[in-house]
Amino acid sequence: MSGVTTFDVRAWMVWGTSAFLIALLARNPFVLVELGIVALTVRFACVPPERLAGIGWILRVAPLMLAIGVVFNVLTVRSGDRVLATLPDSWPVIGGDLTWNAFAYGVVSALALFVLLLVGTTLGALMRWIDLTRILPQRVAPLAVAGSVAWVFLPELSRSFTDIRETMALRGIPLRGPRSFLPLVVPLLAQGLERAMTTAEVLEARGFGGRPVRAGSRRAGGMADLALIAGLVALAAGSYDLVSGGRIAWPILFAGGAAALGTGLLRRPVADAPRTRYRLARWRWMDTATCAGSVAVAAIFLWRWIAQPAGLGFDPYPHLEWPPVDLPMMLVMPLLALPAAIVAFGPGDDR
Amino acid sequence: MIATDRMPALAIDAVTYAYPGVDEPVLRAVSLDLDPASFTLVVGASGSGKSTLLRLANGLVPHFTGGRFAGAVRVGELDTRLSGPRELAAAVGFVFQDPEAQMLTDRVDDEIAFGLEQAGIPRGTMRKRVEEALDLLGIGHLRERSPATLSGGERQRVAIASAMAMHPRILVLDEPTSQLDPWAAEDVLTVVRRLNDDLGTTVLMAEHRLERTLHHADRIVELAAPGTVTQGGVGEVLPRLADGALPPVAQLGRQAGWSPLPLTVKEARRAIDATYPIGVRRVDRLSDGGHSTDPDGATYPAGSRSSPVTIALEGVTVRRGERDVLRDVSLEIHAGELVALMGRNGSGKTSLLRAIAGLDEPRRGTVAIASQGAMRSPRHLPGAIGYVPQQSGALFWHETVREDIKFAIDAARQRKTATSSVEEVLAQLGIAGLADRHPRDLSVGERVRAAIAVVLAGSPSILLLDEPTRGMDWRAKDALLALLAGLRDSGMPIAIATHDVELMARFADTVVLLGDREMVAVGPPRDVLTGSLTFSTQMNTLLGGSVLTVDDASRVLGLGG
Repeated sequence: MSGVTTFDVRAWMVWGTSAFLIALLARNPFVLVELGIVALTVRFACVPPERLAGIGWILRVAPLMLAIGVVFNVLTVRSGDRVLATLPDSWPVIGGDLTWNAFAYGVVSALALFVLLLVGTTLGALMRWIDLTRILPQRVAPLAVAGSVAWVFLPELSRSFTDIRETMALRGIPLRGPRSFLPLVVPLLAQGLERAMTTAEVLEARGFGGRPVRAGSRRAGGMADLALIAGLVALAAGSYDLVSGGRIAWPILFAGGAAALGTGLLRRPVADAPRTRYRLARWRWMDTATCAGSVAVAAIFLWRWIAQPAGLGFDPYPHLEWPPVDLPMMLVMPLLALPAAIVAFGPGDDR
Repeated sequence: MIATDRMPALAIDAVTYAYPGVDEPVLRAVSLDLDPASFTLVVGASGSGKSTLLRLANGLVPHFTGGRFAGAVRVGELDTRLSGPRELAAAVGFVFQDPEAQMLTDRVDDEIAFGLEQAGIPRGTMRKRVEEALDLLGIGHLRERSPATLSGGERQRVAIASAMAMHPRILVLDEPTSQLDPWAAEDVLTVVRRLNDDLGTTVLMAEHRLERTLHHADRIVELAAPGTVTQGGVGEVLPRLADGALPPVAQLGRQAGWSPLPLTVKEARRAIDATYPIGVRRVDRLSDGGHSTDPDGATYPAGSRSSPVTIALEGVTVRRGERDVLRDVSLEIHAGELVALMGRNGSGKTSLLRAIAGLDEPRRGTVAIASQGAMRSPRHLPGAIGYVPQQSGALFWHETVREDIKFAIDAARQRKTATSSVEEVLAQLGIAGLADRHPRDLSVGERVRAAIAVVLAGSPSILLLDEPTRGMDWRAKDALLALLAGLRDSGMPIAIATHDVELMARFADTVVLLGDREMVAVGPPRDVLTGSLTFSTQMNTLLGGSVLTVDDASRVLGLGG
């Protein structure tokens, strides 16, 4: 990849964790917009040209996300001091006052989802899955196979959709509106999955994950499996709590779930066979700088989120007011764009 | 236990295997021993279980596929019931059919090192093995390239290098040349032969194109339905194979009564020299009746191009991204004409089909299709062009073939162009027996016929096929040819992108040879497919002149066949 400055995949993982943390927890529109701009800057500066897919599809999906967020919120939330319209109370579920407050919250929710998508796709383009699997412990190889199938699945889905759209156009069957897309869902999934399974088969045949070396007792295996299950249940419960608006239980469930999952994976009675690397990864000053900037942003965010949660949130109920500006957070956020600055003004790649 | 030369490299012992959810086993009590350093060719009809048999060797069957498995498979001292694909990867190198699907990284040397990294080979040894593999396959100059930028043949060589870097005892190849042009296929097979000869690697290869592979093999395993196996030396099994399964030189040998049957042009030439001591007269023009000369100078059988022009391309250049994928192509295709588009991988065959179909807008030049007495752009004629792409899966959206055909007919009815019922289409294609099957459960040959049925159900006036015979056995090819002959006789113009020189020599009216995205030759097969080193038939290489097919050769040799 000559001509492009490359960062260590571990640095990108730290960057991604920090960006995801903000995208998942913050609801302040100023913070979200700033994060979106940072993600776009990093995307255009750091993603190698051959992996720089257009973001047109994200922009096309954005109005849909906005419409769904706004319509759902406006029709189901009855709180707020700014009434937009009133539907008869006799109408089930949607009857009553429709408010600007609900409208504003819907817009911000859609914005959060859009920024999350932007951060996710940017991170996906920045990292190659093959580099990711190289840093995973060998004992989680099956997980990595599943991950790589998922990694391949989405691009294949998009390719299959193009194939289907072309054959339909040729046969004089244009795709018009959501109804014409419905019959395509199953074949699209089947075709995407078929291609992803081929990748999984190739990985198996080429010894991906190395030779499993069994060690430890059956009892240890059972305990590890139990820890895995408990971890997954805790993460699912935490996700539910987060989605349903909880503020206390989900961090505990997430932390507990992650700990149980980690214990389950690391205590599985399979010993790591030695694994080697053809190309040695070099950790350089720019990787350190990226990590330092990302950790600083995450630390400030968590401090502000615990100390002044209102500053990073947006609560339009019952009174619709402008969201606050959290100056420390806004000032520290550009540190996440450090990799872009390094690419633009740094000494270039000598890797 | 230590593997010795006496121990078979691969021992398959009474294996019966059925895929999950399928009652009928695809392999039934199959037993087979491969001697170390042997070269075994697996032949058989599409769907006979060749790929399944190959996947026994590295444990993909049953560890990856699941299903019901009985019997035992041993690779040296390893029992595949106890050792899965990951443990067997170092002993068995596997090369898949699709060169594109098996690339995992974005640099050639990383790709070769991938398996070594997984096996925990020390870095110093790994670097040596990567260099060895690059040299062995002659791809050192590609080391920094991304596999995505390589041709099909180069990718297959990278895949073989990746397998060979592991120093496997057995190299398994599943139709490795089915997607390659003759040149690239010859390259790949020469390399495999060298690995077998020089390094003593045991080779197990499935392949339909016997004219390419038979002379390399020591042994043939024929899978005959249902799940039964015939095996033996090449000389032993060859006489038992049907005519259609034999390479042209062996077919000629059978007609001439030569024994043993020749496997190569060289062997056939020796047989001819022995049979005709005074030599065979070179025939520069075999009689096809009268002749007419095209404005380009190509000579066609009289009357064969008297029908009106239905597809006209004038100076067509197509650009994709930063690159021209087709340059300055001018071509006319007549009603009832079958045109074969041939050329190396990446020469522009698919791009030409896509341009005719209107899927890619020309940057320069025009594409026009005859419709209701006028020539129009294909973009203004939805439904008029039937296009079967290489990956025909995009044509199937329903649970059964019947439903997909019905859907296409309903769409044609809305355009008021429907001319057939579901049953008529099924009968025309001879696939009534497949009507209620799920399209994804069909064999390669069946799937292509079903795809053509779905396309024809829309009543197009032109048919375009991209590599339709890929992975097809000779019976499926003959069935496809019979179908296309019927369509051609009804006046439909047909264009086929293909690498199948032998088939097109027998069947095409016109051959368009593409090179580096430009048209380099056009004319009847007897003009284009003769006198070439790669795009010519075995019979032409053997007898020269204008001899193309086994029938031509029989006439020249006076065999009366």
